[in-house]
Amino acid sequence: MESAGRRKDLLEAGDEAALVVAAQGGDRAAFGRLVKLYQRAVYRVAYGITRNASDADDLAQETFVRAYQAIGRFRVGEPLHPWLARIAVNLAFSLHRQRKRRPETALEPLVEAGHEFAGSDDPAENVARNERDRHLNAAFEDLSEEHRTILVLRVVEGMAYDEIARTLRLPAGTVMSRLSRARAELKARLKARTGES
Amino acid sequence: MTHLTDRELSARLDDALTPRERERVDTHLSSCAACRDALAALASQDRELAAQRAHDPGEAYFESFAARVENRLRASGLAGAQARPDRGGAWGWLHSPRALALVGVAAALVVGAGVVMMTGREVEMENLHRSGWSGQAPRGAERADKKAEIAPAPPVDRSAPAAKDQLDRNKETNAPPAAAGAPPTARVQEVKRDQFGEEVLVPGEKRLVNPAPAPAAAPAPPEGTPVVVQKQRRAEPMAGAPQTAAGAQPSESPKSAGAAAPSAAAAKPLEIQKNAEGVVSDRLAAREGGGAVRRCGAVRDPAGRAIAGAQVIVAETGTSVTSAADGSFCIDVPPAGRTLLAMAVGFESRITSLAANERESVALTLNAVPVVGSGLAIRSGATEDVAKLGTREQAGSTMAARERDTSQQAVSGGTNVLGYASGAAAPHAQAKALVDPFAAAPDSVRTAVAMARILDGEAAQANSAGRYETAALAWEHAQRMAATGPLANEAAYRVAEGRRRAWQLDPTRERAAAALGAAAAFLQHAPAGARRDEATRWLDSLEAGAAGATQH
Repeated sequence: MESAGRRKDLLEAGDEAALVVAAQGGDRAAFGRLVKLYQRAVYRVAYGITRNASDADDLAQETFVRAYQAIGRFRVGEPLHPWLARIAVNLAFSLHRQRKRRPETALEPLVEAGHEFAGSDDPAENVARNERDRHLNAAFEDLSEEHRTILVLRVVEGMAYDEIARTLRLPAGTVMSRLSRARAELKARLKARTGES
Repeated sequence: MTHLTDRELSARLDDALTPRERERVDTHLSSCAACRDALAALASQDRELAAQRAHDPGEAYFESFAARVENRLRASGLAGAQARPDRGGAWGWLHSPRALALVGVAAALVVGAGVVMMTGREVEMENLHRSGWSGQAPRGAERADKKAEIAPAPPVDRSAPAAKDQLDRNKETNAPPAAAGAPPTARVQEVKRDQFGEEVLVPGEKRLVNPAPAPAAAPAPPEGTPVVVQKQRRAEPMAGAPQTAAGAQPSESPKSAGAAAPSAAAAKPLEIQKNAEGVVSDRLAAREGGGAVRRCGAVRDPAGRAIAGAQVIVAETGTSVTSAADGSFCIDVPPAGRTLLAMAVGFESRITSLAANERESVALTLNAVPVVGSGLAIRSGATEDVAKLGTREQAGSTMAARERDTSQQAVSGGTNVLGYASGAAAPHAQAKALVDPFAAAPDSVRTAVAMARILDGEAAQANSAGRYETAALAWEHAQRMAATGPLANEAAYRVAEGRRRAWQLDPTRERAAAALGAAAAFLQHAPAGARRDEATRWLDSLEAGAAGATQH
């Protein structure tokens, strides 16, 4: 289970800064431990934006590849979480933009939270089962990238404002107002949709 | 009455308001059902969104994740047995022309900026070589190697077992890489290069500092007491203090604590000790900013050992600081401040009057508290509160009356529930504060607790998962308000309890995950005792339940 694993990871967590320094020195085992520490967080961000298990898998792995590549420039002592989240967010949206330019069959509706592909590959069944879910998803997808990002970081990933500010390189005040606009926007769009149907 | 704005509701949900705003918002919330509903709706929207956009690929996925990343690293050309581990060239496919150009420049020009850059890389590469996967390329050969960087890498065994072996080997051979290699502080940031277009890193010199050693607080604990040095904010467990015995049998704690603490506590409850050693006297600096006076001192246990992470609060104003690793603290005391309150996990709170002499250092001595005993008290106290609330509900008292009652319970509950009643008499006007240490806690903390209690009551009454989650959110808020110390611990426990109740009432994967997370979070800082054991049982049952739920 996710949290059982997290618990285990927490117990295994060593000194993060020491691991970063070791990884900067090329210690792959140390980097491996950092991966273990943050794999869930990165996966959550990636899935939160894409809502697609295979994309999230790809993005999460790629995030760590990029992180390893850039770790020499990471400032030791800074929190790693926002830095990784930033990489994941940027990768996710560049994938998204790429898809938009070259649209393929959208896979998102096939994957529902908590289910693998095989579990629910009939969109009609999904819709019938959870219309509210569909509306919420559509309302969310309608939001701007900015708003989707901040909602994922705050609501899905549970980051604090200062972590979000670091991730997005925003002033803390902007985080607060953007988040409140994003929530209000989502609420309004959801209301419009559920009102329609 | 003007209702709360979107911004206020959103910030309140996230606990991001300033203390003053928060107080105003909470005051409004406690008297406005419409805004409470709006807040609950917002919270519920968040929950739905979080549930929809969260996905657990399973433990097996994460077990093998690091190995897959490793494989991808190898596939990308940064192979384990490769003689050329330099990032720029080996990863050329990733950040292509620019990196290659850079490498070219580096190879050609061994002057100026190139030299600086190479120096940086050498250090890095030396460490890479030492790590065992970089072959035997001598350090001096590296510049020459630069030219060969673009050349294809030697063939590599890419099988997964090899990757694992590699990881293991690294673990063994390269345990202290930072210590073994050249000091990383010598590195200079060579390029302002982004790895995928948008990532622009700060230019300029960058120093890598060696990892800060774990703060050496107090003397080494005897007989292998497991002292876990974690976050600074947390009170450092002291040798012999019951909460250090994280894995100890609950039956042991009352003995050890009971022997030392209560007798000592009875002896001199309110004494202000002079800091004989003058440990922090050099930090004494009276400051006239806004009439506030800086007072410094140290928090210690009766044996004179430092207590790190203790919260020191000016009772009258709520200003607070946390003691450093050596127990020292400095706090700006406003003119109104005459009383200091010190709290630390595992220690009895101490309230003390400030001496008139501003230059005098303040020594706060905290006695250990029998944790297990208070843990049991907490449990029953909490249940009682809820029960009381329930009967009052049935009696049909008004909402307002209930809220008032609950708030009062919350404040007085702090005393009973946490077992902090100090039996000491009040020699001065701060009588109330003496009876109830949390009366001296910042208003924001008390308001948060009161709010959470109201929601707890509502949840118990409605017996609904959503309500319990809302209450848990409120406790999370209270926990953040309290930041550290016994109240934060109490709040963490309540969060876990609320999350678990929600899961029991309506078991979903998300709730199981949230409950697990909350219980784990509580356990991180939980002192040994009945609650700790209870939360551990929760974890087990939640894990079992969650595993069961997956099979549906």
